Amino acid sequence: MERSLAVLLLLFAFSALASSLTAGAPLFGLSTILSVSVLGSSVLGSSVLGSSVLGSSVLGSTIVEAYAGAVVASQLWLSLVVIALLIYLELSDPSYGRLRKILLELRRSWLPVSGLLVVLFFIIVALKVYAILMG
Amino acid sequence: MVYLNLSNAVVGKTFFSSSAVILSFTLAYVPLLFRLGYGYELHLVSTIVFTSLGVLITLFLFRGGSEGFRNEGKIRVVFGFLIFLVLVEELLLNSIFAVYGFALSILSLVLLPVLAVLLGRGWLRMAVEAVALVFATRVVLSPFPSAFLSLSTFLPTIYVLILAALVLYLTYRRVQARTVRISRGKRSLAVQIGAGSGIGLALGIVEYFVLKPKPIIVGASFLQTVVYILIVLVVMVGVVEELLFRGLFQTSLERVMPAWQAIGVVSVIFGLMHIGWMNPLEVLLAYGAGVAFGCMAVATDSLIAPITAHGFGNLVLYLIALS
Repeated sequence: MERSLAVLLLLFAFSALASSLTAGAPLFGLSTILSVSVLGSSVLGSSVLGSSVLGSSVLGSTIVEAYAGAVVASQLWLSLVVIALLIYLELSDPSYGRLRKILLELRRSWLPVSGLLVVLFFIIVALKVYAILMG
Repeated sequence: MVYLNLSNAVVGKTFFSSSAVILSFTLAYVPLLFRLGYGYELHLVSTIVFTSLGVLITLFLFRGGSEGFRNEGKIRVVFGFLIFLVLVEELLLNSIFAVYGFALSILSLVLLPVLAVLLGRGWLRMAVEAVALVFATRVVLSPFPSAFLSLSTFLPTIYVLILAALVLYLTYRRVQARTVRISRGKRSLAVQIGAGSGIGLALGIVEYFVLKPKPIIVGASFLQTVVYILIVLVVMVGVVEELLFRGLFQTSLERVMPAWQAIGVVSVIFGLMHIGWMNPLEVLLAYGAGVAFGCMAVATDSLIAPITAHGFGNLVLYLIALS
């Protein structure tokens, strides 16, 4: 890993910790490209030049409810995809014998994706355990 | 197809094509506004119109500077398809069909590397894999139940995860930091920061009047809120989004298509990632901001100016809202 990228990552981890320690809860009103966070917290206040788009319509709250349900479903899919990818990575290990070039290329292409998804899988597990422990 | 040959300067061509997108969208938006009125239908139709105009104008209507690029036609079709894929995913994710939006995000994250392999090696593969990373910014949300959205730790956690994914990818592909414009650039730091701040100030003010967002309130103290805005919305959002869009994605695309076209494609996708605001003008503004950030990245060969503009824009937006 290049030093500049490692430093950036460390700085971010520290900043995340610092912002969590300095900030109180709860948080209201967000803006990022991570638009779904807007849905969760402030979609009912979003506007087009001051005029409400969704206003306090039923649709706005329905979308927020749909998002909550979608997160739960996506955790199941993510877990299944992680298992499938890990099986593929194991089966396509070159130590088992020769493989077609395209399958090896695919293995290389899927490695970083698998790394990310495994981390997300462990976060899902950790949050589930936390939820169980907290009752 | 009839097309126009543009001049040679990257900024000139980018300005010309993006002005055409903005103007044609505005001409289409006004009658839509009168016919449909504010509401979800307007949001839905106008984002589809914006995407269609963006793809048509950026990839198919205007030409220029494409000499020396191989498989140009195939590449334009691939990225036209990918832009529409992002549109569908974002519209689904920000609707009552959010469950399909998440499904499409996960599917795209896994299947785009397959498309990348089929397209060959080198920069084209990296550009397609960069789009997969754009979908990754949605997939990283899935471990967190909706109760987490209102926690102050949510955004920093998400941005650390996205940065970690980016660093993992760049390290794995052995891409040097300088290649994705993590460098001091061709211009002096003062010029880059000055230009970035100026453009950020203008964007922040305009965005405030477009969005009129609720102020961010973190805890009881004003100082806590300001510190949070500085760390998360200025530093984290600016760095991560610019590293992904202008750093990895745009830099890869510039190797397979003319720079002005690469800026246009990245900016259309950047605009679409703002669909969640349910405000067509915000999508258009984000597109314009993406074009400005992209031009700054090309002109300075560094991410310093775009990061400054992005972060400063967020700062201005939320300080106005806070005040």
